[in-house]
Amino acid sequence: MSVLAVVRPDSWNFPLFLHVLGAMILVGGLATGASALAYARGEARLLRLGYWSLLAVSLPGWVLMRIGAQWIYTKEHWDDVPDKVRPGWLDIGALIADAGGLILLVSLIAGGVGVYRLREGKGSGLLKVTLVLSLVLLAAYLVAAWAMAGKPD
Amino acid sequence: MASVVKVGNAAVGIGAGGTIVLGIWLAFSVGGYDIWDGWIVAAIVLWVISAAIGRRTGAAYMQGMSKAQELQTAGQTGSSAELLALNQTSRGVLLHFLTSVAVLLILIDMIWKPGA
Repeated sequence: MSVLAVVRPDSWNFPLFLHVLGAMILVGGLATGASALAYARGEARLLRLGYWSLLAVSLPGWVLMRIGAQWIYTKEHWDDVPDKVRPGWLDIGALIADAGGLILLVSLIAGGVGVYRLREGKGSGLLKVTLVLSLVLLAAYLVAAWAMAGKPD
Repeated sequence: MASVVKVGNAAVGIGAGGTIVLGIWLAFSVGGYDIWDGWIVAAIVLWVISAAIGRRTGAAYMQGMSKAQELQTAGQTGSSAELLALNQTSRGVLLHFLTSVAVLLILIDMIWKPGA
């Protein structure tokens, strides 16, 4: 794999850069959002900070990460390779990225309704759902980062 | 807010420590790379710069929080001109921006590997 990294064509660098940068922003936003929601203890300001970290940081990070992923996937011609011989790390990364995007969307919708209810003076139960989902996402993306960086097979 | 800051500090500490330790280990253990390669030396220098500015960023942000805690302990819960001045300083934001630029340059260096 190190030999492959050394000979990686220059044209792959920018898509890879976008993919890694997006993943860094995504995980940073999730860590900030989850910790703000976890330690808010009902404080509206921190609950909003947590939600907006997910919406304004994690979501654009996910979009950037996914665009970069698809771009480099095409550049490396993985779409021409039969499923049977495609490496496991690639499937793990793709599955977690896509399923994670869906979970992120659900957590943002739940959180959005939660923030609205908070403004109306109602409870913050839905933001707890957002917290649990963002913790699940954080764990999943750490597995994805390990799979993509370590390439175990 | 203090708990969130603690999580952030822990994440930055683990990330910064992990990247330098594992990075140097990789430079020695993976064939095709040497620790004295220009792009690896550049990454280490940028890491040192980002760590130094990052420490100053944390200190700049903590000034306002420490002052607020100090005032709260003293029973002063009203507005404070000194606290307002500390919270309005742009020093923390500027240092944070510079740290982010240094980290971004590390990522660029790691991917493009100039001179490799």
